[in-house]
Amino acid sequence: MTVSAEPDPLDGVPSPLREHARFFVRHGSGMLGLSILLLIVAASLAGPALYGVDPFDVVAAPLLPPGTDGLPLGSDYIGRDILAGVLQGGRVSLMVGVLAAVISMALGTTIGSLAGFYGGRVDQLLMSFTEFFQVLPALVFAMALVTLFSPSLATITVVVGVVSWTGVARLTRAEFLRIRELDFVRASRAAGASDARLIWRVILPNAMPPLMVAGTLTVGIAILFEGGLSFLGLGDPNVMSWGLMIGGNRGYMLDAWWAATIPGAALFLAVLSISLIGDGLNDALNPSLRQW
Amino acid sequence: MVTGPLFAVEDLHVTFAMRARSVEVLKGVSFDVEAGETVCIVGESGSGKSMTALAVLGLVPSPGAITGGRICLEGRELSGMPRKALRGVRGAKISMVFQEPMSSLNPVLTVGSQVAEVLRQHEGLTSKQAGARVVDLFRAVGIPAAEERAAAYPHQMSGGMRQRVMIAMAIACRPKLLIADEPTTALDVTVQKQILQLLKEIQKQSRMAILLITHDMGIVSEIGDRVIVMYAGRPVETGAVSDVLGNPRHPYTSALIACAPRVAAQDARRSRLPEIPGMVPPLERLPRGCAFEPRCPRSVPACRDAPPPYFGSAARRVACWLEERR
Amino acid sequence: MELLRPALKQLLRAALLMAAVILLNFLLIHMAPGDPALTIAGEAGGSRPEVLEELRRLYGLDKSFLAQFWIYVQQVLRGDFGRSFYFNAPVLDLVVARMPATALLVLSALLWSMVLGTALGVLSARKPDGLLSHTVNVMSVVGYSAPVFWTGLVLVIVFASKLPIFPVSDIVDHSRPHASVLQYMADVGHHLVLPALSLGLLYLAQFARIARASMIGVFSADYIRTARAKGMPEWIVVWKHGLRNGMLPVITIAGLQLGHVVSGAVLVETVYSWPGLGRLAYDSILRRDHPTILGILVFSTLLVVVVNFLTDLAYRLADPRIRLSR
Repeated sequence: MTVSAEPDPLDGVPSPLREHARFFVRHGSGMLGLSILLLIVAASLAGPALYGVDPFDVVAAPLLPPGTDGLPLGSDYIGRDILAGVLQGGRVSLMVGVLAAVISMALGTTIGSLAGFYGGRVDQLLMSFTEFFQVLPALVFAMALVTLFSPSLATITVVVGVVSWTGVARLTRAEFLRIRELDFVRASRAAGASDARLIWRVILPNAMPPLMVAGTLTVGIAILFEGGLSFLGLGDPNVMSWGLMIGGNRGYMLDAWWAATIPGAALFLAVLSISLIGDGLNDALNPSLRQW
Repeated sequence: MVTGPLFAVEDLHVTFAMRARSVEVLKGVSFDVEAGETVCIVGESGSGKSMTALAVLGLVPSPGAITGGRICLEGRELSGMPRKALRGVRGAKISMVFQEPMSSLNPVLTVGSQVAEVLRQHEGLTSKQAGARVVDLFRAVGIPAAEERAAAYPHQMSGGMRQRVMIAMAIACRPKLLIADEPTTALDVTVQKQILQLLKEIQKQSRMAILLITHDMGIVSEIGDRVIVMYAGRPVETGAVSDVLGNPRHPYTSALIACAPRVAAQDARRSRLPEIPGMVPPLERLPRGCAFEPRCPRSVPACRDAPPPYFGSAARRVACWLEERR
Repeated sequence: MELLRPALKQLLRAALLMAAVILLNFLLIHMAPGDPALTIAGEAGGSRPEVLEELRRLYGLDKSFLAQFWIYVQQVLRGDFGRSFYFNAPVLDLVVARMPATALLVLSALLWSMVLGTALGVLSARKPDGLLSHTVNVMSVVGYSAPVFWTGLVLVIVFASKLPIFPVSDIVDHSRPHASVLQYMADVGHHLVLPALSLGLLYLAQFARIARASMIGVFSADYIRTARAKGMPEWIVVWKHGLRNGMLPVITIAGLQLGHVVSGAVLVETVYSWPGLGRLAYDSILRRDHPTILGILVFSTLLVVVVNFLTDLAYRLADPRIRLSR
């Protein structure tokens, strides 16, 4: 009787990173999102300089439809060039979005990792803290903060970061609770690794896949948040942002729908592209959750 | 007057059609079951024994499908039946008990309501009538404090209790055939015996036929009347239990018997349970000849050329080239 | 009755959360730059020195921090949340008058998006690779990314000029008196459609996604197989056995999202001039009416806490494993 040798099943399988990247590239919507985002970023960075029109300059009669008088997207309720506004608004939204997301992620991962790693009293305390921030309606809290502390880009960025970290904290905590019990972590601990080392070098890198997805989606949330605050008139009045344009032109939407709708479409596209990237990342990095 | 066996499967084929290829997981399974008898299907995992049970009830999960053969209950063919009619058979004429009682019961419904459901569906009982029958059934399967237990949820019961609930659910409408797919595998050894005895008692009272799927020859010897040994998607030996276990003809059957702790009790001196070397081959890459040949201690060159046909009589069949000489 | 203990625990938590919000309010008043009296007075009151004097006396602003906090707590317990000098009314009155409108908006948005979202999720889970499933997925990314104030605006434009079947502003038509309560309610309902639609669209996407993922898991569960093996009709298998389990994550998500829904309501109310807390907040910001904004913070949080409490209760009712463990 013979028992034939099995071929090594790992022969020829590429490294995990390359596999993930390959999947992402093959995943149509993720790439679509990335392309749109790159376009928006390019337009925001180079656009204002190339187009050369100051969004706050009054250049024409108010509420002209797109295409008139050399204004590709028309003019707003004061007579300013909408295209100029859209181009510069991108800068603000993206910048605030990314910075606020960084703050949010930093806060969230710190709190979540400490809660998940130490457990017990620390966990309970931190989770109560998190729950408190979760029941506070984020926008209302942000509104209160901005009203009391006066609106400026810096304030807005900090405020948005401070109100949107709870989801990340929960996710990080869940990941830490899960990974903490795995064998290689116990081995590291037995080998004498300090808490800090365990958190930073051992557990956190393994929690990266879902955190990366969460980070991406947090940028989208932050951009929407900033848009909402500006829409309500709580943004920095010296900077042209998409939300500001939507809010300012809202009163005239029935006569000149483009003035409020076009900046909104830009905001939508920006967030959509980020969501698509997040989705693509999710499918690439979490194959077990892949649904088809 | 119904002549012929109560339940018959003829040349059943089940194929899984996936994107890259299709795999035949049942390659011509045939057997029948008479009223009041217990037929055991035994084999390792991957042999197709569970798939046979699912195919009988039309529950083959997609992308699998029945691709050939007939299944008949009391002379009526089930295989081509429209879905609605088949649903009338399931639970009422043929019912099934699964391996994992915890996950096989709905966690958010009371056990009583889950059993009552089948009574209301097939026998049109009212809520109250069904409730009373449920209590009777629980008593019949040996669940103490039947009335309180009916309002309990699965997570509040032990494994043995849950399996009794599953059995109660399966016999509620007095089926002609009960299929039990590894009903005791997930239970403690002491509880296993009780469950098997319960099944035997129910069978004695109602002349219900039982088709029992297992991997344990010990269970076969304890409860079976006839046995079907399956390997890689087809039966390789069938016959009366006393016959097959006492005088196994197929090398695989002998190996399985040697592996069963209870049946091999006479060799209690052995400290390790013998294993069958090698593994069941993947169904999409079966050898050209007999599927068991690579692991067979008694193979001859002819075994590699073609899969063996069945030798012997209807009551005792063996698919082994070694039988050709007889 | 097994719900009583957890309910009390939840109530205690709710009370603690509200206490924390009160503390937060107090801290915000004192952390804001400038004279706390000015902060409390807001823009309207801050211009009148006699008001500032009065406030300093009332709130004990010359006393120690702790003493001031105690004074503040006592006021809150008496129902005194400050006075709006712009609206010239106690904050409590302003807020309580507006809360029902916001509650109505939030609850109806949640309700319709949960029901429709779950239905879509269930249907797409039945055919995970089908057209509906993919459409749901695409739509959810779109719904998730669209700013709620923009979709609201677009709907207003469409329904105000092109398709005037739903009103786009306010809660009732003040120009026509209502003959009966029923007519009043019908008018409110008519005005509710577009705002609830705008607010719910965002969450429709999320619920559909969660429901789909949850139901895909449920459909591959053993108890679904058991239900089919019992011969239950497919619609019972899906909606009774499947949904009862699949709903649980949806309820959980509803609870977690509440803070966001109330935030979204603020934006929607602004767009539709819906006379709720959100509108009030918007108006207060314009006038720098701090006491009102802080009062809205407290009461919108209260709304979230109350609905959270209800969803927690709903979850416990739905899942006996949680309800009856320990």
